[in-house]
Amino acid sequence: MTTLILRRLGVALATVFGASMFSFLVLRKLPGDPARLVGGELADETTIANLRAAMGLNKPLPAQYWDYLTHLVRGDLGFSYSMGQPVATLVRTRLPASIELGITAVLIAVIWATSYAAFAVYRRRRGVDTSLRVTSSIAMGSPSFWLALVLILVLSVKLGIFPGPEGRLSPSLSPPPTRTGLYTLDALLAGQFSTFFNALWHLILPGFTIAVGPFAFISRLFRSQLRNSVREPFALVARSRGLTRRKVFLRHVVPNSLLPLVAVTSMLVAELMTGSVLVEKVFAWPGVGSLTVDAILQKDFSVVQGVILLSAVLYVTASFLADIAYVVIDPRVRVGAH
Amino acid sequence: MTVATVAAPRRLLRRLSSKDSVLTAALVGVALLVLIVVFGPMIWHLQPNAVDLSAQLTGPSGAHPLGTDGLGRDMLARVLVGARTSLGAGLIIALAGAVLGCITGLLAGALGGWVDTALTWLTNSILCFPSIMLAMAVVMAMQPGVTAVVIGLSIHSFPWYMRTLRGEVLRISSLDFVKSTNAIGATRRRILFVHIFPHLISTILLQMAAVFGASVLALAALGFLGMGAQPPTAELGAMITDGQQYFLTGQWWISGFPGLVLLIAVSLTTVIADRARDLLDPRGKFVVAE
Repeated sequence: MTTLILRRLGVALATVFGASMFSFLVLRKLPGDPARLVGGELADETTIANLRAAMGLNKPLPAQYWDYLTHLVRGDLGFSYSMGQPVATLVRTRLPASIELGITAVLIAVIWATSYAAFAVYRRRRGVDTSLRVTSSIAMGSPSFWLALVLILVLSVKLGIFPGPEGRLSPSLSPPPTRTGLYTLDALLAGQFSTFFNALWHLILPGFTIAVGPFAFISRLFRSQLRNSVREPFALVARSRGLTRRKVFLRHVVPNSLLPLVAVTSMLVAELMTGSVLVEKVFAWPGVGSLTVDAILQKDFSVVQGVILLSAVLYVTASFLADIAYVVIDPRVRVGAH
Repeated sequence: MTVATVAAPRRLLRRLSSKDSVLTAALVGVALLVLIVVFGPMIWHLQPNAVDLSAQLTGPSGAHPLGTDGLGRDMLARVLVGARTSLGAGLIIALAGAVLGCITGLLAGALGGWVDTALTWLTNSILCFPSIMLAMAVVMAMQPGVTAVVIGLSIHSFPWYMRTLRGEVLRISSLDFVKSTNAIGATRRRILFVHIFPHLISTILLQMAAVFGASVLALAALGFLGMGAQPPTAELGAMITDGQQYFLTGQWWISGFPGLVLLIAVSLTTVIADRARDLLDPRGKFVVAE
C-alpha cells in the first residue's frame, strides 16, 4: 500500500508542477503585457520598463519560471498593487469566510442529494424517480449566479425569510472574537448564541445556491449506485436471512453505495471553487471568490495568478487525499492495484 | 458494450427516439430552440442595440414582449441575439474540444508509450484548474471578450474528450474484430481510421453534448463577471449583470428572461446527454464534464 500511496503522491506532484507551468505560460506568453497589467493603463513607458526589469520579464523564460517557482515554494504569491497588500495575506484573511460557506454547501449538497436519491430508489415509485431526475437536470442547467438573484428576490426581498446580500452577519452585529475565523464556530465558543444563529442564517441562502450544482451530480451518481447495489447478491442474501427490506436497504445497500462517492471529491472541490467565485459576489460575501472577481475587474495580475494556482493546488490535494481514502477504506481497490 | 460500438449516427438517432419519449421531447425542444435562435433575429423587427430612452424599463407588453432594459433596448431582440452568441460559442467550444481531443486521444490510445504518458500528464495538469479559473487566466492575459473565453474553455474541454477517447481506443483495440483485421495484414493507420474511428462517433457526440451544456453556463458565468462579451454586445450572462441592479427593485425581466433561456437550453442538453448515455451505455461508465 505504501508504494501505491507514494506513486499517487508522485503523480500529484507532477500534476501540480505541470499546472504551475501551464498557468505561468498562459499568463506570461499569451499576447498581452504583464508589466502593463501591473502598472495600469496610465503608466508611462519608463515606469513600464522599470516594472519589466523588476518583475524579471527581461530574463529568459526558464529563468523567469525558476524565479516564480522559488517564490512560490517560500509561500510568496506576489504583491497586490490594487489592494496594497501581499497576495498571501489577502487570501489568508479571506479564506475562513469561503471555507465556512464551502462546508455549508457541501453539507447541504450531500444530505439533500443522498436522502433524495435513497428515497427515490427505496420507494420504487416512478413518480418519485422522475421528480429526482427532473430536479437534477434543472439543477445541472441552472446558472448559479442567476439562481442567487432569483432566491434573493423571492426568499429575501418578497418573503423576508432570509437576509439579503449583506455578507456574513447583520450590520447591527459585530463579529465574534476570532479563533477559527468561522463566525458560527467562534460565536459558539464565545457563547454568543444570537450571533451564532444570525451567522448560520446568513450562510443558508448562499450555501444552498452553491450546493445546487454538486447536488445534481451527487444525486445522479448515488442513484445509479443504489440501483446497482440493490441488485447485488449481498442484498439478496441479507433479505433471504430474514431482514426486512428497510433494514437491508439502510444497513447494507446504502453504506455500500456511499463509498464510490469518495471518488467525486475532486469534482466537488472544483464545483465549490467555481461556485464561490460566482455566488460570493452576489451575496456580498467577503471570501476568496469575491476577492478574485474584484482582482480581475481591477486587472490585478498578481492576485489572479496566485488564486488560480492555489485553486489547482487545492484540487490536486483534494483528489490525492480522496484517492488515498479510497484505498484505505476499500480493500478491493488495494487488491486490484497489484 | 456492443450497442455503443456498432451504431451509425443516423440509425442511432432513430433508435434512441423510438425508445425514449423524454429524449424525443428534449430533442424536439433543442431543435425548436435552434430554429428560434437562427431565424428569430431575422423575423423580429427591433434591433438589439437600438436605444430608446422614452421606453426605459417597461415591463412585458405587446410592443416589447419581454420588456425593455435600462436603456430602453428591446429585450426580445437582445435575448434572441444573446442566445445566438451564447449557444454559438458553446457549439464552437464543443467542436474545438472535439477536434483537439480526437487528435490527442487517438494519438495517446494508438501509440501508447511516452506519447501517452506525456499527453496524460498535460491533460491532468489542465484539468486541475476549474474551467472558469482557466478561462479567467486567458482573459487576464489577453483582452476580456468572447474570443478569449472561447479559447480558455476550449483548452479546458479537450482533455475530457481525450480521456474518454483514449480509453475507448484501448478497449476497442483489444476486441476480436480488430485483432483479426490486424491478422489479415491491415496497417495500423488503416485499423485506426477505418475500423476503430467509426465506433468512437457516438462517444464523441455524447461528450459534445456534455461539453456544450457546461460551456454555455461557463461562458455566461464569465459574461456575468464582466470578462466575456463587452457592451453593447448582447450575451445572456452579461445581460443578467445589466439587469442585476433593477432585479431586486421590481424590474425582474431584464435578468429574468436571459437566465430562463440559459436554464432551458442547458437542462435540455443535459437530458439528451443523460438519456442517450443510458441507452448506449447502460453500465454508466462514462466520464462526463462537470
